[in-house]
Amino acid sequence: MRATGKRHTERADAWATFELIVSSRHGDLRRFAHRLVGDPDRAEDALQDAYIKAYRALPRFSHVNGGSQTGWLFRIVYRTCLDDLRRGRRDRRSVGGDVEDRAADIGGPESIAIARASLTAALAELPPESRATVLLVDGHGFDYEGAAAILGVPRGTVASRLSAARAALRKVLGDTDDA
Amino acid sequence: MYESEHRDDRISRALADLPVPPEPPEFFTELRARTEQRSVLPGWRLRVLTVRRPLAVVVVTALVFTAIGGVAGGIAAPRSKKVAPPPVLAFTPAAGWNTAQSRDPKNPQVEFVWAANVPFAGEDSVTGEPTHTAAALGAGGILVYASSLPSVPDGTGYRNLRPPIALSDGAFLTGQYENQPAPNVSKYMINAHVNGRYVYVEVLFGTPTPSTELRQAADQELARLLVPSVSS
Repeated sequence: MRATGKRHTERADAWATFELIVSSRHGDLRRFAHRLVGDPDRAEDALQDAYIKAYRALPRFSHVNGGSQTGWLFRIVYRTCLDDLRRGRRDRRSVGGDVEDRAADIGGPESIAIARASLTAALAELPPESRATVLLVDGHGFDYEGAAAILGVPRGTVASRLSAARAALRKVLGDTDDA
Repeated sequence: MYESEHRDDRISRALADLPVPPEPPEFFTELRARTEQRSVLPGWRLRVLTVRRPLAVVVVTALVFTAIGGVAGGIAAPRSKKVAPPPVLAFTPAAGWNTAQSRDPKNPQVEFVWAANVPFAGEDSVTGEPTHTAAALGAGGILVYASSLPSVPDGTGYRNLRPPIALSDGAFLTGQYENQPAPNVSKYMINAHVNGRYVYVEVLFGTPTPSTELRQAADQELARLLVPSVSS
């Protein structure tokens, strides 16, 4: 019984620590997961799976890495979302869908909704790795080194992916601006 | 030419403007419940995970029972019986190959199985993901990973194949590629529709240029991958 009580206390402490670490970053991590995965339900599932992994790995992070907890959490969320996308093999077109349909889903004034839907569709057309890259750098403000560490690729790969992703998104943004 | 290393403000503003759905009200409650479940038994995946390494299992089992005695056996025996229902995917045992299998706890129909001709590294046997083993593959190392999906939204990328699956059914990646576990690791990726199931296979080699012998060994292990038909 004593051992059980101690275990409960340890669990509560572990959860409190985890909550403290995650709470200030949860909004960013959630946005990242949703924009990377596309489908809201799957994004929430992937995020929760990622948090479970982070919770379990937290002791190792504290003692071994000692580095950026933000980058560490983004890395776990990225890899979990990527695994989900690969296993699910979702049809990317269904993520972006028809722009008008997406605009109706997103709501708001029509022109704004269509612009957002176009951007969402353009994001969905990108390979997940490129999508993650542009989200990290332009969406969350990571520099190349930070993004490379999260994505597990060399800095040059970040640069090349970013170049292609930005070109695709600028095309959409340009179109919407002209409209 | 690469981009300058600055955030693109226009894209940044546009991304920030994209709405995110409201958070499910029970998100953290459910999350905490899941962490509690797993804390009860830190190696929770062991309940649905079996590691087959014939010689090692015999040696380890003998040592454990010798050191701890029959009581440990009495405790361990019921736990080992909590193994999940028979898996969809499995490798036929073979000398020199370690295999493990697990399933998605949220969707037991999704199964993962992998085999390696090297010892599993890190906590791969516990986590259900052979990431450490993949990253640690040496020149002669081979890792075969397969997952089975009951259905996919779009099956056009999955070739209809009759078993056995072979390396020649897939695409080979070497040099530098995305999500490469380690610079020396090359891999084959195979999407197949086999026996009514959607199967995704990765075969990783600890060398950028796997020899004919290594490829043959991998093909032999792939031939031991059992994909039961949907009806079974």
